[in-house]
Amino acid sequence: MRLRRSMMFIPGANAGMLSNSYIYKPDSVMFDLEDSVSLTEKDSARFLVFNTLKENLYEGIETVVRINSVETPFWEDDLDMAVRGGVEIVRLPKTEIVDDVREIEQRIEKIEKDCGRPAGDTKIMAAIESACGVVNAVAIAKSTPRMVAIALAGFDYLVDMQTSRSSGSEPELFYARAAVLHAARAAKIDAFDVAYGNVNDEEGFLREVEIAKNLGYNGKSLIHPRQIELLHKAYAPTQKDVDYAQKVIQAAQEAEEKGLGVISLDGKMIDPPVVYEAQRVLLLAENS
Amino acid sequence: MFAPGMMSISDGITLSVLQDDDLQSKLKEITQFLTDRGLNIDVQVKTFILAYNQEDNQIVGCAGLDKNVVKCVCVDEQFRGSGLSVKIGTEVIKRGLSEGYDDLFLYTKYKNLKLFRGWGFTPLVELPDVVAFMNYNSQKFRDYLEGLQTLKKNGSRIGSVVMNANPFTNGHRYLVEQASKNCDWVHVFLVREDVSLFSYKTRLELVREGLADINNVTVHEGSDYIISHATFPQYFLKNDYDVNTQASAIDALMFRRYIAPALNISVRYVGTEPLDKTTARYNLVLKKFLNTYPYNAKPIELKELERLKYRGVVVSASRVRRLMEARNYEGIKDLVPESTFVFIKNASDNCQKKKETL
Amino acid sequence: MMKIKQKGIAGTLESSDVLVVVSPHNEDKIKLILQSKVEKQYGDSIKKTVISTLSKCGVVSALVDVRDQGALDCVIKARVETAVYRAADEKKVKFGELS
Repeated sequence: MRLRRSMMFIPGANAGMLSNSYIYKPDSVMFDLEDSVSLTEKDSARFLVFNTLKENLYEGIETVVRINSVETPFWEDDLDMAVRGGVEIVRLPKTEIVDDVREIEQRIEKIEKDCGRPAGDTKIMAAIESACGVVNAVAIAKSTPRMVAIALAGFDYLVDMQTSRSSGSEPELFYARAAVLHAARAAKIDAFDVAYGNVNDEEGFLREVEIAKNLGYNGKSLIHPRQIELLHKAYAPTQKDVDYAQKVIQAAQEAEEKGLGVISLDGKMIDPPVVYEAQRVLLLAENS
Repeated sequence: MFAPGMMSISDGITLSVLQDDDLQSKLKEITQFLTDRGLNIDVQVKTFILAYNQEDNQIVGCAGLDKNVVKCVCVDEQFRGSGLSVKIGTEVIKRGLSEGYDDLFLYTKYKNLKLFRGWGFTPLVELPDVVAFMNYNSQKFRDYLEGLQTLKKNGSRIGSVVMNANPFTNGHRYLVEQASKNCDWVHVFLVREDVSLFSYKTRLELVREGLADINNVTVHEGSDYIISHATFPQYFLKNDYDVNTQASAIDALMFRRYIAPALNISVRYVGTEPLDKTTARYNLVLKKFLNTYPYNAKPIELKELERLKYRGVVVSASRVRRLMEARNYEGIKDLVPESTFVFIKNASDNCQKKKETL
Repeated sequence: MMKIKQKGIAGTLESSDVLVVVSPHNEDKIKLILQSKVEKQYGDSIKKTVISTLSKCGVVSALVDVRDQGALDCVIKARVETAVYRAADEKKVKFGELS
């Protein structure tokens, strides 16, 4: 079980940010080779990210690399670097159809073989950034055993939908949020909510976190270190939740010790999903 | 958030590099940005690095490149200390170096010295509380001086002459001859810039040929560090009455502090002319900064010699050029050594031949 | 073997970064010039990292100018590699062989 509350975006060409961001301890870190890196610095970014991965600066933090799309001349070198560099997850930009995933997957397989990395070791995550991606989200989420997470990218999605962000309850993201989350749950993978662009608006950020958390999102894409602590705090379970979770775990342990096939707590039957959830709550509590 | 197509991004600022037509279209805006902050635009700047605020598309910082000289650096007050200047500096330096220059230069008001030190520039010479002249590649400068040192000659009186020699005339020869008679050795420096009628290569050839028979002379190729585009751009506008005192001072101090000591030079020879105000003014500045100005470098004697005259008129390169225009070869013959004359005649003959074949 | 054909520049002047300029050298060796805020404490270590990175890239002749702003080893390596590949005008990078 792995916590994926915070996924911190770091522009791959920025040496300072690559060198120093591990101190903020996000759950995952995403080294970007795509939109935040200018065309003239794509090569630089690759060398920087490769060496950062090799140096193991982010030990204990899940590493993700966002590669350029297959429509660019960069994606193959990006993938080569990332897989050989030992990244844990490759993030696909703008995933719209299952074929997008296939092409990447095939290439990863080849590279793994070539560099002696265990087959299937490199995981994938998809980014839904358009209407097409939203409607194909389930198929994308289920497309490969390598798929471990799916993220909704708000800015480009809204552009595709010919609208923009409003504040408050944000109906414009409602369907996409729900669809992406359902796809994640159906495929039993994690789901990430959109990044919040206004780093100075703490209130707005927390409002959005609350929405996503209540829907059931595992985490959120972040673009500034100060959002990490805020997010982790918001995801911290209450004492009440923790107490209940502990009771559930205890009940499960007792049932196992007694060799019982059914777990019961306070006269009610506890299903495995509830036990799983209790484990998650305790993990969250530990890391808050 | 992160949008494609921008050159560099951080906290809502984008950087872009402008040249040619793109630069032309933004020139008015840049000029306004500079004048609002008490600075002037320099029309020699052919490349500008601009920093824009994404929110309102306004310029918040800029830096210009005039070949290997950094100019027009300005960062809006709001963004000072935000790391923006270092980002601009990076682009300017990368751009300058990739255009083939090994060293970059700049003049700065004393108060901005710290900013440019942050960019990796070091001061070469300074007029305290006024201006500092800085360069980027200390190693290159050190190598240059070490190279000069290997050409040091023994003697108690080592002289020097700096010339453009466009072309080399009897007047130039006369000055060096006088120096060679009164010194143990004479170092002749040729100005390197290729903005004269005669190319640098030609001028160098003619100077060498014209002085070949004098035993105690070394002809030095010019460099960025002595009367160059960097140290003294206005040198080439000397026929303009506006001689830039600051630049002359800096150039003189460079000579006094670095070049003269490397070669043990104690005296510099210049030509004078009673009626030429521009040269007179320049020589005055030279004298002050080479000699009387209190500076932590040995004073250099400035020896002014009246320029050679032929038939009552000063023998000057400009006079020769005028005669060339008028195709008065007999006239030219009187003013230049054989080697120079042969070159000029051949060049003109070739020109004629080309015209005839067309 | 990487032949340095032109000037290759990588990095920035920003804190935690390093600006590296690799140019052709007329001698068959590496001439390294380093400027660093922390030259006294880390000068030797930085030089070592640069030299070993150059050697892993197969560079035997080059003029290398390094301006350090307190960069970590991995950043120094990355910038040297980038500058070398740009200087050699080499687009294909064999990541497997780099470390």
